[in-house]
Amino acid sequence: MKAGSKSKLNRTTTITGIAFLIPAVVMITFAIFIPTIWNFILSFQHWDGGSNRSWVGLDNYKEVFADKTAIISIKHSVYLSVTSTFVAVIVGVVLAVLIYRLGRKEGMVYRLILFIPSMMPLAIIGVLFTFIYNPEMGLLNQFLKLIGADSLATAWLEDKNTVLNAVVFVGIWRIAGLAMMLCFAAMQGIPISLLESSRLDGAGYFKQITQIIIPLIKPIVLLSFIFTLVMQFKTYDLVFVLTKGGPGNFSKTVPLHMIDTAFSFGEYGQSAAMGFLFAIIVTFFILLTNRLLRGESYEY
Amino acid sequence: MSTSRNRNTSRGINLSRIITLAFVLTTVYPILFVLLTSLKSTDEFYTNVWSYPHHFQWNNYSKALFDAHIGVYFTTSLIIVGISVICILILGALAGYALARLHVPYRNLILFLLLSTTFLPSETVIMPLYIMMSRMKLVGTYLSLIIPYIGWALPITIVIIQRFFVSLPNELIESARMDGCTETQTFRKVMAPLMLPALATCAIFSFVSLWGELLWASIALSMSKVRTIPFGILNFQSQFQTDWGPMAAAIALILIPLMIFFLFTQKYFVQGLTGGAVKG
Repeated sequence: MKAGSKSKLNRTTTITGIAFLIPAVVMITFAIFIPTIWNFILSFQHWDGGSNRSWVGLDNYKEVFADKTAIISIKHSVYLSVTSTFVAVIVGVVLAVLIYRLGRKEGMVYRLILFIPSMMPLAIIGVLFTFIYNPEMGLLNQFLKLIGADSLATAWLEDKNTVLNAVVFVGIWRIAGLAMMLCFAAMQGIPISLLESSRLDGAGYFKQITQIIIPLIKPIVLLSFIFTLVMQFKTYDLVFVLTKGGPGNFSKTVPLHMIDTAFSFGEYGQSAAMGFLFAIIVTFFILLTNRLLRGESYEY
Repeated sequence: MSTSRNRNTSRGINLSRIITLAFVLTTVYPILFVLLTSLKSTDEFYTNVWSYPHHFQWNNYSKALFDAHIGVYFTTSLIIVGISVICILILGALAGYALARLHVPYRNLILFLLLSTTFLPSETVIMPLYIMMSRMKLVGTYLSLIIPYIGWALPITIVIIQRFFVSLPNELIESARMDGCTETQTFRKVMAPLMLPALATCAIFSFVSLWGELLWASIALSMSKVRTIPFGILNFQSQFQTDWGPMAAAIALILIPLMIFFLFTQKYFVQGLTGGAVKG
């Protein structure tokens, strides 16, 4: 009797559960699963966007590897995201550690300001920095003029030597506050007593940082790395607004080249193959980061 | 001995402050620069880049609002993102609750699939999605943005809400069931009121990420007159290239409401990012 009612309860909860789940699953399937699978299938087909569609095996992939622009875009994408992630997270950790030491209210003001760029739309950030990098009136060149370093002034976004790093800088500017916020939140969980007792043992702040704080917040540092990396690989908005991939192809990234290939040249299959390769590259770097930074985590 | 240590500490604190301030200045100056430029006429801008404006040029703002339609873009973005966020919250709450508290089969597999989609670069789904939308004759409409936005933001929302429900004590549900509540009643009367903070986190997090979405908007809306803010600003950029004042005013018009919104909600935004992964 009792067992019977229990299993009946289980069955009703299961049915309700599935009913609750279905609307969300339908939306996600439509917006993510179907397009992803379709993209994968399309990467083995030749399709001009109309009624001509044929299976071509691995041809699209071969074409991607033969396409010089595609290879350059992949290099740029990897360089942009890896460099800006690396620097941004380190800046974030340093800032968190510095602010941790300051007064509560003072620190809060700094954290708030440093976090502002993380919630600004990338397109807006892009436009903002076209002001900064503008060759004549841009803030950066004006500043260099002000301190008498005119010779360093250049057309940052039109010069093939500076364009990539100019974009990297914007990437760091916009995301370092986020890494700082994550690390700071983790540091607030560290018991004060732990730091106080080490201070009584004569440890300076630097020693406390390297021997107590960093090891304890390591899981969050890892999380920040992965988070930032995923966000930085999505470079379309920023690069499009800042440079449109130029000058020439000197700042072209995979998303830009994919959109060109599909919508400007009508090579849908090739664009799909590029998208699939891109997903593999992103996954590879996430796993690599995870591998490099994993390690024991401490309970406290 | 102890005074020398104190002096060392206070010197260290001042050093921390100076370095932090340098970063704070780098962050805030570009934004301040735009706000100042937005109030200068073009002539004044060329003669006086650095200091504050001598003659306030409010004209720039009316240009940005009316000639460049920032007001219209703003309303469009608000409608599209607003509807998306409401749907995301309702569907996400139901699904998160189901995965946490109701006996859904394969629930770990479902959670794993949801989490893995959050790492997928959205570029891979853009093109097939465009084909799907154009076959459904939706390209260029509000729906062509709302539907994918809901689908893209749902996985992380579900995961956050699922974690929240798992952290609630089981007794609450048990006792509601004992009192004769049906599953839907339990959800509506006991669970829903408790989850407001978690919902706020998800709402703000998805709002901020959708508000700035450019790639899909620029493709889905390319043939239509509908413009969201990030897409609209690009038109503006090519139209007003050398006219810095109105351009800066447009940015200011977008940034100021966002910053006020952010001031009140930043706590929830950080919680959304960590997805409950940070202790305390």
